Amino acid sequence: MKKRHIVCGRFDPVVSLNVSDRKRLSRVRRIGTDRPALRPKPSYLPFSTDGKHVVHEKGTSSVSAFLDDASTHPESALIVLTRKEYFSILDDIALRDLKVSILEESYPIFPDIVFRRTLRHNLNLLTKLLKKVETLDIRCGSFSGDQSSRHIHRIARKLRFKNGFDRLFFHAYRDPYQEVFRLVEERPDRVIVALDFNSMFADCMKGTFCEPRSLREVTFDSSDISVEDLPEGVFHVVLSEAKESFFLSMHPFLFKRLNRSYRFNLKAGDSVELLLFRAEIKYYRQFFSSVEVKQGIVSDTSIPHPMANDVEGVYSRRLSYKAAGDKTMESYCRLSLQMMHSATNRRSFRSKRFDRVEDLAAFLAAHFDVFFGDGDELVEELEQFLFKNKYCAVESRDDQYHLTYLDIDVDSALYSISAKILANARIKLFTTIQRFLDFESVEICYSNVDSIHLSVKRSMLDAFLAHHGDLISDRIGDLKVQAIADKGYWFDLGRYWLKRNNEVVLFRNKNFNFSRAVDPFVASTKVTRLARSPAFSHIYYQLHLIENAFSYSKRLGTTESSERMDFVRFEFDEIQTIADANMSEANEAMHSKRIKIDLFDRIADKTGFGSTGDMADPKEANNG
Amino acid sequence: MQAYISISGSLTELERDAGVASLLSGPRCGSNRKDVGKSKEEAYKEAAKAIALLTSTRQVKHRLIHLLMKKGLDNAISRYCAYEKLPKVYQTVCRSADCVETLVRGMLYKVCRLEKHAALDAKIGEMAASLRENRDNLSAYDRVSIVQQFIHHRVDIALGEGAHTSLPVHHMQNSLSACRLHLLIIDLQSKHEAYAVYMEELSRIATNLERDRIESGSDAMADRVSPYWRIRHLKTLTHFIESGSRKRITRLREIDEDLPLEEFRREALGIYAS
Repeated sequence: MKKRHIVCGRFDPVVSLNVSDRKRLSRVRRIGTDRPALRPKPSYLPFSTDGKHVVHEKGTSSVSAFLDDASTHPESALIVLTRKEYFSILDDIALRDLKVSILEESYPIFPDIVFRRTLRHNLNLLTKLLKKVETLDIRCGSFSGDQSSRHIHRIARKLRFKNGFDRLFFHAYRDPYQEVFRLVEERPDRVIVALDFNSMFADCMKGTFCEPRSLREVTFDSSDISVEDLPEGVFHVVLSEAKESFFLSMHPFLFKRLNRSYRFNLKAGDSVELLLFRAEIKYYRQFFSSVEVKQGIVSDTSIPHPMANDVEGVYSRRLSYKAAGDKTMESYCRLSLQMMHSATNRRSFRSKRFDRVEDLAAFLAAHFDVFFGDGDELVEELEQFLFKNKYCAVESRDDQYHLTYLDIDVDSALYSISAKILANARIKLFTTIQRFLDFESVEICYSNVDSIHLSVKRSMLDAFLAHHGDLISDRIGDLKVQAIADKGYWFDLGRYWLKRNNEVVLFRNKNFNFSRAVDPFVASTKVTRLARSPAFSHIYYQLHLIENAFSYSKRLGTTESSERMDFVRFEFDEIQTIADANMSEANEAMHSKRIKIDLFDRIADKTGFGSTGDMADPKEANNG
Repeated sequence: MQAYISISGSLTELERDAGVASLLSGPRCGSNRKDVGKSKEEAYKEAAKAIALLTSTRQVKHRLIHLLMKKGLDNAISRYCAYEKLPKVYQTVCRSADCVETLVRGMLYKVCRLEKHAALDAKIGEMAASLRENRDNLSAYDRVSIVQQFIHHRVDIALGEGAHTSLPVHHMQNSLSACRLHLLIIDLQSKHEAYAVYMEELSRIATNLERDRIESGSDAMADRVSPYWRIRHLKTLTHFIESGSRKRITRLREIDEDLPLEEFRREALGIYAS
């Protein structure tokens, strides 16, 4: 059989550690940050409203009068307690071009916030919580803004410098391991165990990292390199001749074409070319016959994560707050931990203008490591690359192309750190899965970044939990049993329901179920959208139905029994071009959409009771 | 005389001279094209998802024809916006039932900072309703001038006689152009066939008349910056509809409904995404 060579790049089948401008890359510069203490704190004007009246510190007035008055005092920042209040006056805010913050959104650390019909009550609570915000010295107008500026400042104080090679780590393989393996598990002799890691990313900040100031490039001539001797860094590797193992159908690599990702099955004998960290090479090589390391960006000194010590401290504070029942401070610590990892990954955008589409394409190709064809293909592929792209957007104005793109050279980014954390998380999840699979009767149903759902024989459950007891505890990075269920249904990432004795014990239904919905099976949701320009503001609603939200990136396998239905990955030739992949998904939609919606109706036991969810956040259609 | 409005969507001489081709096909990567990044296979996939639950060939046919009509309208709107250089943010407003109200309120309250009044809101509502009803069968172009006069009048009342002359031209132009698009959309979607046909005819006659006036060089035209300005604005939305989507609709109508569902789906999707 023909041996295939599959290239898995960040956005496209392109892997290149482009070091042509070595002089610029090796220039050392300061990591950009500013002192958190100098960051501004907004002076808030809190109020509560029901859409008609406003209660504020000085009394009661009509919405119009209050907002008209407020627009003459731009120095005070308006704030309400709940989303509900915000939506009730959205029209009035938008017409006046005012900005109104929402406490439960900007400061998501406070538990159990609900809107009460007595406006005075909401105002009192809001004032009280704003005092707490003041005491905690949260700046920048939001918890996330405050935390990320604090974290990056701390990191910058410790590391001080980085060099230009850091940008190349942006291209390292970065997708987390997330996949749905099973649609239905209802076999009576089985139970489902849902596990998740305690503060996964914070735990993955342990271990060693490259020192960002001393990054350099190394090349290797022969394939005869001992992986053990590699220094800390990211490497351009070819993993050759995959061996027969579970890895072929469960490997964590995605095939990318023009920023679209596809899962696929490997075949024995296939080779994969990509950028991997040292620890990943060490781990994945067991599944291949040989590993060729071509080039690397490394540092001879390795360092601990600059916030590694803080992680332990904050995590133990979190546990003690939890024990003391202080929910606010517990979520403060939990969210702060989450943001420690992303502080090195802050996005910053730049813009550039082009007269010719060819120049635009050439720039994007070089900046993001993408390959575009010529002529008609160029424009078509460029459009495909730009479609729903988080990292760049193009507008054509005045006969020019205005590009806004992620600046991967920005002083405040440290991709060498953040990419390594993601790699650690991937290995951690994958090794755990491998360990579980070695246990008798275990089958993996679902995995998503830091959670694993598996099915095990009912008679083996106790033995399973005892055998893996060393992994299950309160400690950071260990597993927590979220639920044990007898039936499980996984439709997509972030859309599953686990039932025990016909009661839902654990579920997620992204974009449809929000915190306050009573019914776990919300099947439609109304999204409020706001289109705003200097000349008008327009509020409109979109209805989303669950039947249109299912994805078809894997095929529903054929099974003899309806008690167990599995998803299988597409073969590589079914997804190797975007056209092939679209056709594969189209066929899959026609095959399984009916099955999925019927299953949903059955498990939700829809007998016609209301199921419209909370309103989601307004998405601005355009900033005008 | 040459026809200056071509229903099939091909370019007129006038437009070719003005370099409209690039505008009509949309800026290649710009934000005005709704189906940016959607290839044939992407369209096939989206349509496949939409028909996956349907059980009869007739349902499939009707759904796909409906989708094509919707897409045809979307594209016409995108082309109109590109032609008029109307920012993307206006596209959603144009389809909403209360478009005229939204835009007039925007001009009065947001741009001119007039004080909000229930009475004024009611007047705006009345005016907008009468435009939609269009008892006098006025063309969209003429109805938009009513909107313009309404705004001028209200601004003068609130801010003093002559205040309307200092209205920001750019916003006014965009809003009126968006209003016209909105009226054209309702005209096209009108349930009364005779009305829609009449509007089409009206636009054709008005354009020809206008063109004759320009070519006879009447004095009234002397002070116009561009004598063809009015012609440009007399077009109906059908002018912006691609011929391709009509052909596809016809082909879809012709498929044999007695084919097995599976085969029918494939053939119909093939035509849909061609």
